[in-house]
Amino acid sequence: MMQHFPVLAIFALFLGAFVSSLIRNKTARNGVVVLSVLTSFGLLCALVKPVMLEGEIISYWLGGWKPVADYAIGIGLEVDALSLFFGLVVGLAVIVSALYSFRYLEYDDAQSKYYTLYLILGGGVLGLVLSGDLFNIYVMVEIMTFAAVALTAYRNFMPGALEAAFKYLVIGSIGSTCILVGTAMLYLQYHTLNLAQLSALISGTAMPSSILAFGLLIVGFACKAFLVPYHPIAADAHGTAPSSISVIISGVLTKTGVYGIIRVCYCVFRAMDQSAVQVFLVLLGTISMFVCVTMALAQHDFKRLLAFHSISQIGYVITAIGLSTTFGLASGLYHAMNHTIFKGLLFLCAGCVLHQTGTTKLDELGGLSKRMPKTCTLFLIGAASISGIPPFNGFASKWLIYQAVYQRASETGNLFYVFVVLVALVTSVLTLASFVKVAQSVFFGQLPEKLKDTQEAPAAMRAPMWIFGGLCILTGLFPAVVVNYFTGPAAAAALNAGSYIDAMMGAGYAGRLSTVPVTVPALQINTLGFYDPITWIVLLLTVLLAFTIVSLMGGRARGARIQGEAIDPKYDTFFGGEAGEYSQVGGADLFWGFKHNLRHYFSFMHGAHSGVVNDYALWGITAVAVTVAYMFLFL
Amino acid sequence: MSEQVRDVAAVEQETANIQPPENPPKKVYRERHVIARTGADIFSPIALVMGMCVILHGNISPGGGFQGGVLVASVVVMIYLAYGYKMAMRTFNLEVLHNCESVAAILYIVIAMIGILSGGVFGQNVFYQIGETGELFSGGTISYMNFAVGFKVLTGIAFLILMMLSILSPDAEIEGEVSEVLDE
Amino acid sequence: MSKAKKVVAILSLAVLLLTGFYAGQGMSDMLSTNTTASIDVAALYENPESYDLSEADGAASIIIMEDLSKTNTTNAVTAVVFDFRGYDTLGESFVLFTAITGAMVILRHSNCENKRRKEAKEA
Repeated sequence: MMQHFPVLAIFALFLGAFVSSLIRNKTARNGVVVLSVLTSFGLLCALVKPVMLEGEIISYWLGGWKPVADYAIGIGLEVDALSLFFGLVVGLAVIVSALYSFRYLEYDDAQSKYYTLYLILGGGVLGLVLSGDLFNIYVMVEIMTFAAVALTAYRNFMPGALEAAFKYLVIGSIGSTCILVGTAMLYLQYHTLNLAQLSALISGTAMPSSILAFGLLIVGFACKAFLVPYHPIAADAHGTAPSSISVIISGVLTKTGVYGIIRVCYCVFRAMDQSAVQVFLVLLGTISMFVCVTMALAQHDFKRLLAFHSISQIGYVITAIGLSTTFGLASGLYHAMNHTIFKGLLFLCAGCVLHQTGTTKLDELGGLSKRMPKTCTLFLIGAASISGIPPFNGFASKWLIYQAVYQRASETGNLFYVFVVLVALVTSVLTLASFVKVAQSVFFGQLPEKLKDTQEAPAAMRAPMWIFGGLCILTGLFPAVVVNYFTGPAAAAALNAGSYIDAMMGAGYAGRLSTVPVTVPALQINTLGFYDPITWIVLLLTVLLAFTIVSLMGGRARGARIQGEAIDPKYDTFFGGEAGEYSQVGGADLFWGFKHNLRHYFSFMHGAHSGVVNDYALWGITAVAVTVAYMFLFL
Repeated sequence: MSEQVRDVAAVEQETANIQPPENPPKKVYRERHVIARTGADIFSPIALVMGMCVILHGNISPGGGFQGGVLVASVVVMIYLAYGYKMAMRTFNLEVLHNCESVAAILYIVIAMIGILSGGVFGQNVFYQIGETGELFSGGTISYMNFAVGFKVLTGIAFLILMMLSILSPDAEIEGEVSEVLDE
Repeated sequence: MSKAKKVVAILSLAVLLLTGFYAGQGMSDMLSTNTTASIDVAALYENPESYDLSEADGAASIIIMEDLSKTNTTNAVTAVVFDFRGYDTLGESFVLFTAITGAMVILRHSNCENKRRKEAKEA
C-alpha cells in the first residue's frame, strides 16, 4: 500500500484542480482545495519514516510494465530521500500559499480559474520531483511553465502583467526546448529514457552526443531556476503576479530547477568528480549571487527587490551543490529549504502591504509599522533570516555553506574557493544592507498622508504566515536535527547512485553494467561544535530586554522636550540647520553613496537590462552556446 | 403674402398625412453566401460522424483520441463561417463545453485508477483479454482512455475557437440591403 | 540590432551548429533504434508469442515485439501512447487544459479595473 502513495499524492492535487473548476459555490470550492492540498501533503508525510529515516527507495512502474530483457519499457516513479525532501518542501509551500490566498483574492474575479491553475501547478511540480523518467520530467516542466505563465498574468489590469507573462513564456520556452533536445539526444544514443538505466549505461563514457546533452540539460534546468542570464524575467514575473503565486514561483519552481541540476549532475551523468563541472557550477552560483544582489540595490519596487534576492540565495544553493562533498550538498539542501520558508514569508508580507495600501513602490510607502505592527514583526523575522542573523535559520545554513566552501578550499588548496567565500560574505553583507533599506522605506520612517488610514492585515492572512515564521525560528534553533534527519539522508541518496539504480532495475544491475565502481560515501557532519543556538537566543533576548528598559526610562522624557516642533531631522536640508522645505529623503536613497561609487557597473547593468525580450532571448542563447562550448572543451 | 400662406398651408396639409413607418427596420444580420451555408449544412454532420468514428476506432485503425477530437471541433468553425457569430454562440454553450472538459479529465484519471483498485498499479491495463484482436472494444482500458482524451480535445478545442472568435468583433450589422431578415 | 549584438548572436549560433554537427556525426555510425529488418511483422501478427528478445537493442524494439500479445490492439501507436506511456499522454492532456484555461484567464475582461477606479474616485 505504501508504494501507491506517491502517485496518489500527485493525483490528489490534479483531481482537486478539475473538481474545483466544476464547483460554483465558494465555500465548497475552498473546502475542496484545502482537502486536496492536505491529502497530498499527508501522503508525503506518511512516507517520511520508511524513505528518509530507514533509507528504503520506492520504485513504482506505471502501468505494470516491469523491465524486460534489462531494458525499461515503461515509466518509472522513484522516490528516494532527495525526491521526498523536495516533495515535502513543495507541499508545505503549496499549503501555506493556498491558505493565504483565500483572503488575499477577495477583490479578484475568476477565482475558480485561479485555484484550478494553482492546483495544476502544484501537481506538476510534485510530478516532476517524484519522477524517474526523463521525458516525464519534460512533460511536467511543460505543465508547470504554462500554469505559471497564466497565473503571472492573472491580474491582467496591472501595468506590465501581460508583458511579464509574455517574456516568461518566451524565455521559459528556451529552457524547455533545451531540456527536450537533451532528452532526445540521450534517447537516440542509449535507446532508453529511464534515469536509472541511463545512469548505468552512461557511467564514465563520454561520447559527443552525451556531452552535448549534458550541457543542454544543465542550461535547461538553470533557465527554470532563473540563474544568471535568465534573471530579469524573474523580476518581471514576481512583480506582477499575485503574492501567493510569487511564493510558488520563487520557492517552488526555482527548486525544481535545482532538483533537475542535482539529478542530472549527480545521478544520471555522475560527473561531479570532474573538476570542470564543479568549477562550472560554483562559478555559475557565485555570479548569480553577486549580480542579483547588486541589481537588488537599484530597485524601487518591493516585490522586484525580493525577486532579485531570491535568485541570489539560489546562487548560494548552486555554489554549495557544486562542491560535490557530502557536507556541501547537505548544507545546500538545507539552505534551499530555508530559502523557501523565509522568502515565502517575505513575499506574503509584501502581499499584505499591497492588499492594504494598494502599492508596492518604495517611494510611496513608509512608516507602516505604526499602522500594521504584526505584519512588521513577521517582516522582521523574514528579514533577519535572509540576512543571516542568529538565531534564525538563514544564519545556520549560511554558516554551513561558508564552512563547506572553506573546507573545500583547504582540501584542494585552490585559491578560487577562497575567492568564493569572500564573495559569499560580501553578498551577505549587501543583503543585510538591502533589507535595512527596505525596512526603512516600508515600515519605519515617515508615514505619508495618503496611507494614514491603512488597517492591519486581516488575521486570515496573518495566520498562515505564522506557520512560516514559526518554522524560521524552529529550523534555526535546531539545525542538527534538520541536517541529520532530513538533508543528510537526501544528500546521501543523491551521492549514492548505485542503490538508486538497483532499486529501479533489479539488484545487481549497477555492478554488471557500469565500468566505474559506485561507492557509498559515509556521512559525517561535524559542524556545530562552535555554534550553540540557545546561547544566541538568550543573548538576543537579553539585549532586547535591556533596550526596552533603557528606552522606557529615558526615551519619553526626551521626546517631551522637543514636542510640538519638527522633531525629525530629515526636515532639515543636508547642508545646514535651516528649517527648509520638507524633503522626503526616503529609504530608497539610503545607499546613494555606494551606488555613486559603482556607477560604471550600474550603468552597464542598466544598459544591459533593457526590458526588450529579444535581448533577453539573445542572452539565453548565448548562455546555451557558452555552456556547450565549455563542456566540449573541458570534459 | 397670400401665396406664402397658401404654400405653408399646403405644406402643413401634406405633412399632416405622413405617418411614421409602422415597422421600423429591425437590426439585421448580413447573411453569408448560399454556397457557404449549403456546404456547412452538408459537411457538418459528415465531420461529426467521421470524427467520432476516428475516435472510437483508435485502437484498430490509425487515428485515435487527439486526431478525432480535432475533426469534431472543426464543426464549430464551419458553423461560424456559414452562419455568423451570433448563430454560433446560440448553437454552442460555453459553460457546458468548459465543464465537459473537466469531466473528461476526471474520467481519464478515474479509468487510470482502476488499476490501483483491482490490485495492480496505476494505469495498468487490467482487462485487455476481453474481446478479440481487431474488434471495437479490444485492448482494455486503451479504448476508454481513447474516448476520454477524444472528448477532452473536442470540447477543449471547440471552447478555444469560440473564445478566440469572441475576442474579434462580431459580424457587423448592416441595415437595408439584405435578402432575408432573420428574427431577433 | 547593434553591431555587438549581431556578432554575439552569430557566434553563439555558430557554436551551437558546430557542436550539433559534431554530435550528430558521432551518432550517425551507430545502429538505428530498431532493426526493422529482423522483425517480420506478418509472422508476429499470426503468432504473437513467437518473439525472441535476446537480440533486442533498445526499448523500442521490445515494445514493437511485445505489443500485440501484451495489449491486444492492432494499432501499435495507440498502444504505446495510451498504455506503455499513458502517464505522459495524461500529462499532455493536462497541458492542453492548462493552456485553454490560461488563455481564458489572460484574455478575460476583468472587472477589477472598474472597481479600483471607482474606489480611487471615491477616495
